[in-house]
Amino acid sequence: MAPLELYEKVLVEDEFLETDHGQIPCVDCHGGNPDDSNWETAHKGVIKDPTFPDASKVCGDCHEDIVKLGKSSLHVSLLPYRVIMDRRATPDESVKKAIDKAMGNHCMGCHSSCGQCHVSRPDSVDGGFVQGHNFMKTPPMATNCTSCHGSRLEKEFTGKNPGIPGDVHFVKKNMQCVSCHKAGEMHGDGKEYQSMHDVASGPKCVDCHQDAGKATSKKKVHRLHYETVSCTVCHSLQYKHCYGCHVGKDSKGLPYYQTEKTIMDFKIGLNSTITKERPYKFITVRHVPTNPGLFDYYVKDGLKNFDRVPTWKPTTPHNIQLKTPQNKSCKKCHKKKRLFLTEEDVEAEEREANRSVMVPESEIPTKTKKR
Amino acid sequence: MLRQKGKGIGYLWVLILIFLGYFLLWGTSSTVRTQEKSSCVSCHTNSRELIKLSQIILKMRPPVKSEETKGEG
Repeated sequence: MAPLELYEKVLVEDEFLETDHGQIPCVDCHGGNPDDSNWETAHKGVIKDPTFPDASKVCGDCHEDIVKLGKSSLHVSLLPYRVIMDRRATPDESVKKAIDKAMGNHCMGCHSSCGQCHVSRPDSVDGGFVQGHNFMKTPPMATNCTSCHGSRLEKEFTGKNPGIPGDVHFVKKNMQCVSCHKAGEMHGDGKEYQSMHDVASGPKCVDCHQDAGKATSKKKVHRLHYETVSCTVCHSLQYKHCYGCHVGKDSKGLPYYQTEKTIMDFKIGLNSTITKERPYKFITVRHVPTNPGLFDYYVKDGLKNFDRVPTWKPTTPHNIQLKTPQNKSCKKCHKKKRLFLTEEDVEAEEREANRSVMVPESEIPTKTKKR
Repeated sequence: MLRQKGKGIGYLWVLILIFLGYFLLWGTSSTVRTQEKSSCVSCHTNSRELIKLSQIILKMRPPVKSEETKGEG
């Protein structure tokens, strides 16, 4: 996505002034002084995104219900990041303060807001109006969703990883993010979910492919696997794994991050959090960019409990296909150790953290039983 | 009789045109009024003005991002 010129970011289209939102005086939402003809002093106190962190003042009068629930949206709260770091952090108040500071400088800027989905590009990609300040009921995929979810999901979904085709839902059906991720999921439902996989209104393959999730499925392969293997284990291709991340500030005081290697691979791990909705024994897992020294710039040994959370996390690769190398036949997956996340795949310093997701050799399906 | 009927229709058309004209002018003038009221609107809808200002701003505050950032985010 090409960046916008500075003037393009703030150019209001005449058309916007004729919309309902365009009838509201600018100052009501953004502050500043509209009677001052000097641009520098007129912008004193201007609020660029009046919908974050609290949208109730500017959106709440008309969209009260959405705003109330919106505080629980993971796109706004980024709660799972906090939950994970709290679990990994050394249990000491000064350490937690230092980690909070580091997260404020480096992690928590990746939130969204009403405005950063419906009016402008997200701040994390330097913002700018998407359509001249017009409010878009549905945020466009290219400027809004994938501007943040670009490195992994966009490339998988649209087929930008060399040699790996895009997701069949995009390539053949031109489905967009919002085709599956509906407003209810994005806006939150009032519950403070600690993981995105717990969100009740999150998409499920069986919402459309109902037959695939039944013991009475027409397809034998679905009948055999529907409760033990997640859909993506059979229907996704290789996806991106990122390693290591260090954050800090440079000599000018500017925040930076440095990640290490990035590789394409496909790994099946154990589901360490089995629920009624996700009963599978085997799921696809992805390595996320983190390591014990993540916040060393701010506090040494701040993540003494690093091993409490796996670095290989449940994932839904967004490159779904009907036919994949591993579902060509039983033997393409059974006995295929290289498809499973074993101890050999996990770096020594991370093995303890991933004990619950690594597949012991004894657990790798070896035989295709006749049923 | 026919001539009178024709006159009536003519008057009706004139009235319709007056109404239409009134609403069109009222709509335009209200937009113009809003734009005149606010220096925010007059500047932020003027691309030429914004280009000029953005050049000044970029000279005053060039975008700053650390050159030490590496890898995929």
